[in-house]
Amino acid sequence: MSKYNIMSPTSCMGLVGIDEEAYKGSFRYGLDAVAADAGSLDPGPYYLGAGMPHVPAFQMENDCRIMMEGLSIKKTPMVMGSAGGSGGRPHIRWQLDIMDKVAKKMGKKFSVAVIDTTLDKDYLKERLKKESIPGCQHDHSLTEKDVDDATEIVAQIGVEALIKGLETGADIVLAGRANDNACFAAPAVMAGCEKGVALHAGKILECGSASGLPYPGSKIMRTPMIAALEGNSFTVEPATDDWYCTIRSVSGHEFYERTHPQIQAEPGGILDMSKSFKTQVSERAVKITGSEWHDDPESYKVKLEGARLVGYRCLFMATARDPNFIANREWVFNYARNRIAAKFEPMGLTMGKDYHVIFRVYGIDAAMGPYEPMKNDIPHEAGVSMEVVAPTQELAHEIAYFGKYGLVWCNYTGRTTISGNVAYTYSPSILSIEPAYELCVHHLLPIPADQSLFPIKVVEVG
Amino acid sequence: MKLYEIAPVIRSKNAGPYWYTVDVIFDNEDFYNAVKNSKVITRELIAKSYNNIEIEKVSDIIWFDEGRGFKVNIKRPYSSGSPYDYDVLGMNQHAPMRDIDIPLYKLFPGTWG
Repeated sequence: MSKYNIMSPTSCMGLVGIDEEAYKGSFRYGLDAVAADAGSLDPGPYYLGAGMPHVPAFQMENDCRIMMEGLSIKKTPMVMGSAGGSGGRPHIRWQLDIMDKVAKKMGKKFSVAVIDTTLDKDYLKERLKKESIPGCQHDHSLTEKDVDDATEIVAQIGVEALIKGLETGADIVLAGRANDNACFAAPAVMAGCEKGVALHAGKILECGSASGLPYPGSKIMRTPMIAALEGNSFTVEPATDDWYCTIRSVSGHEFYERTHPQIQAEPGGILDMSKSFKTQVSERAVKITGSEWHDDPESYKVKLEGARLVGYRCLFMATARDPNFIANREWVFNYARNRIAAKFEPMGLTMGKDYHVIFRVYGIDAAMGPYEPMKNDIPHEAGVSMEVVAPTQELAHEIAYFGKYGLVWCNYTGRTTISGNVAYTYSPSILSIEPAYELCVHHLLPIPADQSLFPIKVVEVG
Repeated sequence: MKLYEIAPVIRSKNAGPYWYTVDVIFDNEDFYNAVKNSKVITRELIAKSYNNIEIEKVSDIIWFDEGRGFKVNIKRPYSSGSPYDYDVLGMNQHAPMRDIDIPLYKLFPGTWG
């Protein structure tokens, strides 16, 4: 077959913003497919747990507009993965509403194949009665409690489920949680490209221009990337002439945010890049040959993700400018903790179990915690925060207000003041912030190979 | 010499919600090969540099010749974004790696007189 050109307009829809001029410029490549993902688990469990997006709506709207207007210029298969950030049902609704608004403003209608990747909890509990569902990157098998605790459980789908969406012939495939690389690979695999090559191309494209470099003076902050697939290789290059790729820039990206640069687990198997090699084929383009795909010999597995609410949260932010306070901070925190525990234990609330009190010192070890090798260096100033996570917002507030005074008025060694031990950053001093979530589902589920767990509905926007 | 003086890319990021991954990438192939062949970078050294954490929390060092760099994965103290976590996306866990001493004068004896 001739070359199959996939375009990646951005690293994440709604995040940095697609460059519209560069997007239109990329049409000179004769595009066969356009794909983008809108999400990741990287920003933490809150967004999945709370059903919230992690990008501004106006920015998502603008990216949707550029991509949907692009479809009017040249109709290609278009895949948008991990809708609304986390790919849960509220996230799909959020992105679909935005796409509807865009289509209405354009005065056009688009058909959208929506792939639901949220799994039914009863189905998972039935599966748990018959089998063990192993952890992904940890060794705790899934329990019924984990399933119940999660607000929503999504499966990260692969190429095969996305192809089912493309087969509907809808203008756009909008997937729930989807593997980033698979969003780019799916249209190519459907067109007959090798799966290993297509997924490796997807891996290079998924962070947009991250695998390219701007020439000095380039005015485009992020440019779309193009992968041209042919046989057992693909060529990657930035879509605009003011950017370029080198073997180093591409292989540098293979390092990024993965435990291994050349072996990557994907839905249904392993992408093996260990035998692949790169050639600089022009000043701006790099060719990658020999990437391989290995089906999982046991079964087709997908990764499940789910987050649970830990509690409601209040925050006290302050600054310490007294060297003796900073030096004696651990004593101060223990004093404040003990005072809170003594007050709330008789009310039936145990610290560390029913509620949490967390201190951080910015300037000492707030970024690295127990891994910080320089925590004995005392700075002249440090940020101090106290967070309370409790079963209700009201209780979090009560504990935080009570707890604050332990920190503010205690008599640490070397105290020379009576007014208060730290500078408050805000009035009110106690801030109510978003609830705290944590991952409770991050497991590998064998699924039926026909992808029937992920129903597809074609809807119209506009 | 410190690693940051010879490696222009030293960065960290989550590799999934339970691991940090730290990447070190060189421009100069001789520096890359010298550091790799010196066997200075070990799991033990990384564990020591990250405040003497248990060695089980540090992966093998993964060398990637084509990318002219290496990476090491470090088990997170808490899963990403959970209440006690320190660095949700794992983007600032690279600093101790910057300060690792590389005995470059031993690796290139002829060039140091």
